[in-house]
Order: sequence, then C-alpha cells, then structure tokens
Amino acid sequence: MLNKRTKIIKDILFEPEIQKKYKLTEDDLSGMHRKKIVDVLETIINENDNGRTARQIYPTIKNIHKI
Amino acid sequence: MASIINSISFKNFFNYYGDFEDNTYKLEEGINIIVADNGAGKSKFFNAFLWLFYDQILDSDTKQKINIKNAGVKIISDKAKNETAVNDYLTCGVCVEYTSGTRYKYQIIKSFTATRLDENITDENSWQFVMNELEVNRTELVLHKYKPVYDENEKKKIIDKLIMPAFRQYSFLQGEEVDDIIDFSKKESIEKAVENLTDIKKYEQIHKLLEEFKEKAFKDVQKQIKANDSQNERFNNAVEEKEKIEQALEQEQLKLKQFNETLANAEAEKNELDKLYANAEKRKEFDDKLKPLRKRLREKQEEFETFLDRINNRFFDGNFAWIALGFEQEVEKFRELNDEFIEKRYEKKALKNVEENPNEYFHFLPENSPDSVSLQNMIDDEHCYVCNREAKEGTPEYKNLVKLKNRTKDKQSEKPFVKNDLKNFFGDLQINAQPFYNKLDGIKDSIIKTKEKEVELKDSIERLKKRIKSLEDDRNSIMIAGHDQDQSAKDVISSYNGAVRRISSAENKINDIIIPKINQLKKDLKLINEEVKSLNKSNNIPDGYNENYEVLSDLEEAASKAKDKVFDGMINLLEEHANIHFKNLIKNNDLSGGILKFEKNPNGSINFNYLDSKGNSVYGSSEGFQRMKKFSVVMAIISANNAEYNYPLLADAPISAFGEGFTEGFFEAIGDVFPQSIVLVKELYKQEDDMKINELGKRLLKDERVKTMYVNHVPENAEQIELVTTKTKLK
Amino acid sequence: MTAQEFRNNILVKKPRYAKSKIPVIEAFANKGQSKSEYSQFGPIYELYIYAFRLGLKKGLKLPLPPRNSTKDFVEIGKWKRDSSLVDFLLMIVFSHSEEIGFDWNDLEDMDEKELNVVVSNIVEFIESYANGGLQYLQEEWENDNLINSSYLFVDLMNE
Repeated sequence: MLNKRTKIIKDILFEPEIQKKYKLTEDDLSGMHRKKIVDVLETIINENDNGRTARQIYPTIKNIHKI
Repeated sequence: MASIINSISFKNFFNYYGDFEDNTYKLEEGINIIVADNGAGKSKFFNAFLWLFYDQILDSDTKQKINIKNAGVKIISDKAKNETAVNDYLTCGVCVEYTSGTRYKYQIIKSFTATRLDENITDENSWQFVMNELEVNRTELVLHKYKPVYDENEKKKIIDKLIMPAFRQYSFLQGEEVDDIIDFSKKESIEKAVENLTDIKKYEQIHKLLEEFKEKAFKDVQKQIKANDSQNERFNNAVEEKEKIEQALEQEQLKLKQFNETLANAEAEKNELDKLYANAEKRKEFDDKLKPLRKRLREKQEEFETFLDRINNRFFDGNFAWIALGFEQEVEKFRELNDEFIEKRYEKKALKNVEENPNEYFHFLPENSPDSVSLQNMIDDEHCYVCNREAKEGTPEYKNLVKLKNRTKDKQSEKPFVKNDLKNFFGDLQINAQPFYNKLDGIKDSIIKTKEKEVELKDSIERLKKRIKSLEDDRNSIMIAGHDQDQSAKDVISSYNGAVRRISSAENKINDIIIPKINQLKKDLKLINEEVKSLNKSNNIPDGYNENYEVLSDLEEAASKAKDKVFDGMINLLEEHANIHFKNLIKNNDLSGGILKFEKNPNGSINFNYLDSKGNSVYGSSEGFQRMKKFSVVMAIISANNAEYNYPLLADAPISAFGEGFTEGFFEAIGDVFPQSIVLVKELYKQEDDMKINELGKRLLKDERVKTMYVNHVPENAEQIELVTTKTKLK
Repeated sequence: MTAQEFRNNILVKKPRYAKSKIPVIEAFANKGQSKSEYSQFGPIYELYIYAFRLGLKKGLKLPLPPRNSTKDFVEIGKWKRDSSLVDFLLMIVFSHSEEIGFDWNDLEDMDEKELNVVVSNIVEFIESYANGGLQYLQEEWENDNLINSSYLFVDLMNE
C-alpha cells in the first residue's frame, strides 16, 4: 500500500504540466541526487509533519537553493 | 480490520433490571435484529452506546442529550431502586464486548453506584451517585480470561477502535438523525465526509504553505534586484502591474466570499422552508389525492367549454333542429301547397290529354289502377269487375280493357305535359327536410334538457372545486403547522420565493461575473508572472533566487490541482457508491429510473440532487424517500472508505418512515455494506402473533444474512416499578 | 328544365349581405376562429339562416342596398353539405311563394328566363329577411340589449 506521504508527493509532482517541465520520473523520487523540486516538496512535507512552522521551514528551502 | 460486537449487556439500566448476565444480547457478524415495541427498551439500547462513546444519554422527555453524571436517577431500573434498602446501594451499567481483527477481544464496562438515602425513590436527592472507574479488559482470542487494561490512553484507544470517532456519525444512527448526518442544507456535510475519507486536509496544508513560500520567494527576488541597484524600470512596472492584478484578484475573491455567504444563507433559508412545507408523507398523501381530482376538474371544465361552444350547433344539427322552432305554419303551408300543386297538376295533365286525345280521358285513372293482373283477368273473363258488366271481345268495353292494360307502353311515348317537371323538386324537399320538421314538437324539450345538462356539468364542476379546495386547505394547514404561528402560508411561500430569487441572483453573480473575472485575473497574473520572470533573468542576481521562486510557483500550482483532483475523485466515488446503494434500497419499491447526482458548483459547494430518468431534479418527495436518499449517501461514505478499517452499524429504527418496500431493501443493503449491523426496530413487532413478529419479521428470520433476532417484551399494564424488559432469542 | 336543374339553379346562388352588417357578422360568427364576448355561430351561413328566420318571424323585411354596398359569400349548395338543412330552408321559402310572387304550378310552364326571375326573387326574399334579421341583431347589440348567455340565440328566438 502506497504510504500517504508518497501519495501526496506523487499527486503533486506528477501533475502533467510540472512533470513535463521538470521531466520527472519515478526514479527522481529516490536516490541520492534528486532534483531540487523534489527536494523542496519533500522538505516541506517532512517538516510540516514534524510540526515546524512556515517561518522555520522557509530557510531550509532557501538552503536547498544555496541562497 | 473489522470490529465486531460480540455482546452487549445491561445492569439495572432503565427497564433492563438485574445483573449483566440477565440482560445480555449475544451478537454476531452480519445482521442482528432486536424487535421491540414502543417502551420495550429500544431507545435504551441505543442509549447504552451513547454512554459508551460520549458519556451521554438521550433524555426521552426533552430530546436533549445530557451527560450521564446529570442523568442520575432516571436511568436506573425502578424495580431495582425499589428493592434497594435505605443505606444500601445498587450498580447501574453497560458492558460491551467486541473483537477486533483475529487476535484480541475487548470488554468495556461503564457504570456508577447509587446509594439510597431515604424512602423516596424517584427524588434525585434521595440517592448518592458515584461514577465507577472505566473498566476495560483485554484477552487474546485463544484464551478466555480477561486481563484489565490500566493505562487511560490505552483504554481510550480501545473504545475509539470500536468505531472511530470521525465515522461514528455515519455508523451510529438514531431515527431522525439520519436526516441530520447529511444535512444537505449545509455544504460542509459532504465536505466533512470527504475530509474524513481522504487526506484532503493534508493537501490543503501543503498548498497553503506553498502559497506562502511562493510569496516569500518573490519578495526575496525583488529585494535582490533593488539591492542590485540596476534600476530596471520595466521590471518595476511589471511588478507594479502584477501587484495591481493581485489586488484586483484579492478583491474579487473577497466579493466571491461575500456572495458565497449570501448564497449559503439563502440556501439555508430555502432548505429550512423546504422542510417546513415539503414536510413529508402527509403532504404527499394529499398531493396523491389532489392530482387525479385536478385532472378530472380540467376534463370537466373542458367538457363544459366544449358543451357551451357547441350549443349553437344544435340549431343546425339535424338531431336537434332548433332552427325549425316556430316554423310550424310554414311546414303546414308547404304541405297544403304541395297537395294543391299535385292536384292541379293532374287536372292539367288530364285536360291536356283530353285536348289531344278526347277518347283517352281514362287516363284520369291513376297509374296501375287497376293493376295489370286484374286487367288480364277481366280480358280473359270478358267482364269488367270495376263496373260489374260484360265486356265481350270486340265490344268497345273489351277494347278499352285491352287499351288500359297496354297503357304503360303508351306512356313511354307520352310527351311531357309541362315544360318543367318540378314534381320531384317539391316532393324531394318534403322528404329530405323531414329531420328538421319532424323535431318541431320536441325542440322546446330539447332546449330544456340542454339547459339541465349545463346545470349538471356546472354542479359537478362546483363539487370538484369544493373537494379540491378542502383538500388544499388541509394540505396548507400542514404546510405551516409547527412553524411560527404568526407566519401565514403566504408568508412562508413569499419568503421561500425570496430565498429562491436570492439564490439565483447570487448564483448568477458568482457564476457569470465573479468567477469569469477571477479566472481572467488568474490568467493575467500567470502572464505577468512569466513577464516578471523573463525580465529578472536579465538581472544580475544569484540564480538561486529566481530558481527558488520558479520552483515554488510551479509547486503551488500543482498542489492546487492535486487537491482539487483528490476532492473530485472522492465526490465521484461517493456518487457511484451512493447510486449502487440507492438502487438496492429502492428496488422493492416502484420508484423507477432516477439517479443521485453530486454536482460541484463553480464556487466549490456540492449540490446533491435526485434526477429522474429524464434528467430533471425531483423535489419534495416523501420523507421516507428523502431519508432513503440520505441513507444511500451515508452508506456510500462507509463503503467508499477504502481503509482497512470497518465497523458496525448501530441503528435505532431508521426505517420507521420508510414503508415495507424500503424496509426490505434496507435490510438487504446494510448486509452488503456493514460487516455487522445491529438494528433496533419496532415495525416488525406484532402483539397478536405467537412469536410477536409480523410477516416481514418472519421472512427476515429465515434470511441467512440475519444472524440473530431478539424480541423484547414488557408486561402489559404493569406498574412502573414492576416494569422489566425481558427478551426472547428467536435466532 | 328538370327538377334537378331547377334545384341546382337555386343552389349555385351566392346570397349577399350588406357591407354595413360586417361588424355584426364578425361579432356573431367566428368562422372557426377566436372567441368573442358573446355566444357565437360557426360559419357565416349559420348566422345568416338564423337572421333570416329572425327577420321572417318578426316580419322584418329589409331589401339589400345597391350591389356595390353588398358582399356575397358561399353558395347555398355548400351550406352544411350532406344535411337536410338546405332542404328545410327551401321548404320554408317555398311555403312563402305567394309573398315572393309565384304559383307552384305556373313554374312548370315558365320558360328559362321567367324561371330565372323567380329564382332571383327567391334569393332576394332570403336576402331581405336575413338583412332584416341582421339589422335587428345589430340594433340590439348596439343598444346593449343582448345578454351574454350561451342561450342568447335561443332566447332571442322565443321573444
């Protein structure tokens, strides 16, 4: 059974427009060198699950982009 | 993992007098039916579950749910109270055993102790109450000995696992509660269900975060550009434009919110009024009576109209011939003239004959007189029988007889004696006109009869109108019964119409103006965002900022779509399931065709309608039907729940308004949806029967889906303190 | 001339009415169209026969105005076909031969020209009384003496 977190990630990332633009495949969801967009979304979901606030999560996202 | 209730027991709880062992209902997976007449412990049974889940009971006097702590003396068996000596105490409680999955079995006991303080048993102050600690026990199925659970959280979890709180409302049904669970006047009810059935909340959270981050990312980009000092005017203009659009969008969204509120209020009002006069079976009963009467009235009125229209036809219709009235003299005169005419005609003819053939005046004799046979006899006998004298052959008399006999031949050569032979003209008139002058004597009667027929038609129309009026009055009195006394039916109707008007105007405003405008603004915003993006690419700021903004914008859009998809998917699933259940529920009824339809409004709310086979919405059907419709949705919410978790249905007489056809469908349908159902029902009770159940009850008893069936009894005409519920297990 | 030819001579005639009577005709003969405030006849000939009867019984003989001020309508032969109505009407007409000015037996000896005169007189006889009847209806109507009842024409006939 698909776990809920994975399902949300897939539902969002495999929206046709975004999937096409970033050329996302199943492989992009795992592995070491993930695309930034996958990283960003996963971070948001994980941190949200951990009960962190938006103010706390945003810097982490910026970190991903090294800004 | 399904929860199955194995038993429920009562101790001195209402009429269930005695210890738990005396009042135990063993229950099984499948359908369990407890048949009980009014006052035979049906709603008490239900109250046990209210206590178990919510520490409440339903006060049958006030119809209010009250906390068990305040229920006190009311819920204790009177017999038990009476038998308890002063300063002695009794226990009152409920106990449920259930199995979850294949490994564990649980026992939950809630109870309190009451100590009697004085003689008076019904007074609240005569008893001292102490709530006992919640007792939860667990055992492995292979073992038989329960072990207590001490941890309070664990206890709570065990109760929640029986029926999860979010789903209790769909599983824990009491009578009219079915109506309230899915109250279609509140758009939240379906949304609530979707929330319970999906992770839509999660999607919403993520989407909201992404929206926020997107904003932040954009502001970061802006800050960078300013810091980067290259005063790019075009960029600033684009940003300004973007902000303008955002503001406009915000305004429109605010407007949308306001109109949605107006719409919701108007819909709530309409539904409230709907309930008022759409109220139920009674109204339908009247409608059923009125319909054929109205049809008959229409027919009679048409008949009457046609009748009046055709009155003047009777002047010229040969069957009535009213135009002939008063022409008696003319008809008489015509006859006289015709006789005269014929007579003169013969004279004229004779004279003419005499003139031309003086010897042939016998042509005065009418044609065929005497007839040719008689003439031949006279010739053979040489005797004229007309004047009774001899006519020997050769005599003029004899020749005359021969000539007479041959006269037809002569006639053929006869020349017309008038220029215009009009004899037939007048003769034919007299014959043909008969239908008219023959009626002369009857015309006055015929007119009177026509007038009588008119009165008769008028009377029957009046009678029909009176009957319809009285039925309509009765029907109207139902429509406003129970509502504010000062508000007349007319007011109700005008408020109703007002609400309908407001709904439609709000809908128009939302659908035709605001939503298109919002869509346009969103499109504009997307374009301007693209513009901004391309403008700031030419700026010398670190790539990360642009990239951050772009990724977050894209994610935000995708999350919004994903969220909608989840919602729509669940709505479609619910619709599909609801229709399957609905078909099963009504299959023994003569409702045909129709389907249940969930429709998403552009503003996000869900319309729930029953469409007939032609696709028209059906409103105001009977209460049973409405409840059945809602019940289908409740069952859909349960059957569409694809989680591994299942739970029992506890229903208190949900079928009282349904009728036999629905009742059968109901039992079939719940068997398919719920792993276990416990149904408390009075409709199957039959006092005069040996088994105390009716025909349908007996049919259900034989049904293999029905696993257990109990009948509750209370002694007839018993004193309150002797009132004890006992039971018979039929299956 | 045979009986049939004589009859046909009458049946092909199209009686006329005065143009001044058009309003009353429109009010009381609906020709299968819209309804009016009063009880109505169907085709014009029904009203015409009724008016003739009214005129005759009330002795209201009113010759038509000059031809230019009149209008014809369907020929007598087409009045309520396959019915005895026309026969009955002619019966009534011929019972008034004296007034019209001919003798039944004389008809049989007339030549065609003379007969045509008689036929013209017959039509004129019908027209005059119908005109008289219509005139009466019109006056009653204009003076508001007509009661709006389904039995309007029955009642008028009984007066």
